Amino acid sequence: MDQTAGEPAGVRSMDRHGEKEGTRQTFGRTSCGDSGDEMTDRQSQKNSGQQAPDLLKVSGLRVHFHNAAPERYAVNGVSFSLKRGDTLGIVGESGSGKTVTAMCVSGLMPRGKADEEGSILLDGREMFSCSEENLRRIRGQDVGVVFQDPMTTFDPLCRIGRQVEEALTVRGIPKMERRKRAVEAMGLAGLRDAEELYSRYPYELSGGMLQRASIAAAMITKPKLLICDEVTTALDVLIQEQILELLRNLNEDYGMTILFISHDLHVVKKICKSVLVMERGKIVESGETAEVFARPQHAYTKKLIASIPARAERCRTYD
Amino acid sequence: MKIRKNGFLKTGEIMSLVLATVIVTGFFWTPYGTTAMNAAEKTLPPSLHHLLGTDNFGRDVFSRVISGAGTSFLIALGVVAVGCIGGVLIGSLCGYFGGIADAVLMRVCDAITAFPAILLALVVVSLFGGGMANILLCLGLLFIPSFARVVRTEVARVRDMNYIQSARLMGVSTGRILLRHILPNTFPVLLPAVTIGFNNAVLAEASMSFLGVGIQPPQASLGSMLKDSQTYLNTAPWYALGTGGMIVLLVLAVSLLSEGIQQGTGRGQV
Amino acid sequence: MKVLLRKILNLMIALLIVTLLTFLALQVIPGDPVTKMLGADATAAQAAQLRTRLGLDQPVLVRYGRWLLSFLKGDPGISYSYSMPVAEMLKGKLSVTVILTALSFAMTVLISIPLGILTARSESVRVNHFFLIMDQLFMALPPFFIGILSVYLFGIVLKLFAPGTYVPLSESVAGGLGYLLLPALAMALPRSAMTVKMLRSSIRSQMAEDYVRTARSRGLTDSQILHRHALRGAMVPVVTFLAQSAAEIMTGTIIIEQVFTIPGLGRLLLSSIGSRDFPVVQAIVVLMAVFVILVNFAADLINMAIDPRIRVS
Repeated sequence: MDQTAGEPAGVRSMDRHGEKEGTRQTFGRTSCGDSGDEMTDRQSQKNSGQQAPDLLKVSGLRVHFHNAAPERYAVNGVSFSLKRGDTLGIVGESGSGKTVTAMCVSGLMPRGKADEEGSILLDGREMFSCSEENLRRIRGQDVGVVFQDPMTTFDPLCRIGRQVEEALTVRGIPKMERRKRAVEAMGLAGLRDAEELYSRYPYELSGGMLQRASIAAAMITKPKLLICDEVTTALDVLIQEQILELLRNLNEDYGMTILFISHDLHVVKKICKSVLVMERGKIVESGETAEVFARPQHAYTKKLIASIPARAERCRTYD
Repeated sequence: MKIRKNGFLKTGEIMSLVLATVIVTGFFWTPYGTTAMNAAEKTLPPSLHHLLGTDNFGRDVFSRVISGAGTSFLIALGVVAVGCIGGVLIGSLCGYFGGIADAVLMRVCDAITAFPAILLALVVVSLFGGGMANILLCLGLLFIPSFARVVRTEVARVRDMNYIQSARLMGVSTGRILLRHILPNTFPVLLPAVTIGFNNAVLAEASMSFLGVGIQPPQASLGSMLKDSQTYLNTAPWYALGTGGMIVLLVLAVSLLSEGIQQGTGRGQV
Repeated sequence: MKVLLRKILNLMIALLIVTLLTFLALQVIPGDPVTKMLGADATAAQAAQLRTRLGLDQPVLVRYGRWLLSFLKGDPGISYSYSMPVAEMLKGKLSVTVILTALSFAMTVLISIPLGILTARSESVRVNHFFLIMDQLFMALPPFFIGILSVYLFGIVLKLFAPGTYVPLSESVAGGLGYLLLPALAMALPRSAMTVKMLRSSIRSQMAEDYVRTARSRGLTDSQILHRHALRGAMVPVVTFLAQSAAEIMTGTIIIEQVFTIPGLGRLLLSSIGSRDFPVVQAIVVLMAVFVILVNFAADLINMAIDPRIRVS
């Protein structure tokens, strides 16, 4: 799986990542390891001319898995940006590259499995030039992720509270404070009796409750960016609505920036201000959600919109 | 079932093939008679004439090892056959029909598997008398539960799959569903069980013969030879090494094969 | 709590069944102990008298009940061959076998758990292959052959110990334990290889679970994930396997005692089987069976402590 021969400049092969640092061409600034607050300060100085700098700026992202065919890029030249406090949806069917994009942004790409090129600037920090150690610090602190299946996202042998507060635990926060903040976050995520749920095991909670707990876990460090990867897919419709409502509140009341990945345009419409439509690793259409819905330009988008059961019509038919 | 080639599989195949050839040849011809004693050639070290030397009676160790391996091979084959047929019968019926009989039988199976087979076999065979047939039957019966367990689990899993349901709805007879649609599914789990069972049988027979309750002399058996060889460890260490080495080779060949199959079907680890 | 009670009830039933089966099995065995004890030329009257004295004229179930009661009181009967209490005969032998088993089991755990974790964490293909091959090799080595090899190597070639000179622990603790080291290791090596293989694949499969990715997203290092989460889940099947190993080691002592000429339960069992001394055979088999059942029960309890889901279903 050695990819040394013919490797284009700027490709970061994650398995030999340590040697490459500094030698590869990077886009934009490379400053990692500083604490988040300092970063923001420097950032605001540098960008003093512009208004509201992007929290996330992805440019020319290309990902190629080592076990894929030579010209098969999982993500092929994706660029977008996301402002603080915004909500962006990425829509596409499975294999369109939306989840891989999210994985790159969250710093969760498995090591040694893929070549990545391009740039991901999170709050001014180039993710691709971060060491594994720094990426690990970003995970949980700057980026929180909520995954698809709430039933498998928790360790079944470990109490809920211990897992919700885990991002704090590994950052050396003392036990009492951890517990306080965990209960707080769980309450914020709409879990009643958070005190009691704290010492429950995952199998004792319903899917909807678990998804709320996993949102609480992702938010406990007050991350700059919350990535939601198909968070409603495994839930039934009623619970879906509640979770969407919760995310909308987090965004509106607390200004949480959300990157929302889904295959379901209808869900995205309910929560995202703007939307990207991806097909086979490329962005085929982007814009304000309402605009995209009203006037879809690309054939693929039209197809996706058409595939949503038209609720209004159905209501008319059955009423 | 598609099996990818890998190092374990290849080594296992080659070893098994060589061993099988030697063993099968040994049924018809060995360099020396397996019971032919020769007072003039007692405890000779390995040489070109006697590849593994001779024992205290001047018998050729190599010939006896081959013939002993043949005995082990036949017994292990028989044990696996009895265990497998019994296990598939019980396991598939229990798995398919479920119910109280299933619960009770599986309980009994659990109890028997939890118990070390060798102890039971040891007591039963030693009290009823040794000999190939007794060992084979006793070990075979004791091995049924381990096969029944894996078959049952797999059958119970497949039974509720959609294509079985639809076959049932289409009016396919139960027997035909079991034979044509369900049993083939159990092969992937049966294969490792067969190889493990084979090795356990080889080891169980060797252990019993080692303790003097298995195959009775003068019939060559690896276990009883190893027992004899212990007395002559001082003067003829090759006797023990050759005999024990053969047991290791037999077990190793089959376990490499098993590991290779499991890796090749994606069930193993890297 | 309800689950625990049910488990204890099951345990009792299992113990009853095992003792009953052992008892019954020894009744149908060909070969009459009375003839054996009195010799072929005893009169019918003599035989009948002995039968009454041994309680053999009673129905089977009555005899079972009597035997079980006295067994529970610590008296498994009188040996046919030596006319002495079985308990007396077992005394010294039982402790040897128990110590040998415990020693070997401890070795298995101490070798396999660290090695299993270490090899599961290694990402080097070469290291993995090396360990896979070592696993296969050691799994193929039967304990009695390792025993013979070590007797040859350490006893005959290197002359580090004299085979067949076991000293009871009551005479010399160091000498006795020292003599038990090699036989314990002979049984522990193949078992360790199996356990390492199992633990490694168990950890690997845990590390492939979804919750590991979630933990990574919270900023945990791989080793934190392993110690905080994956290891616990990985231990469940390993604990069950270790219980089985303890049982296998216990019965393995029968053979290994033969190789190293250690006067334990195994040797007594073999000689008692040879002389059809049923009370002794029965006592030893039942003791081993009880041990197996108790060890499995202990494993169940440990797994209940690890996995909360087992506590309810």
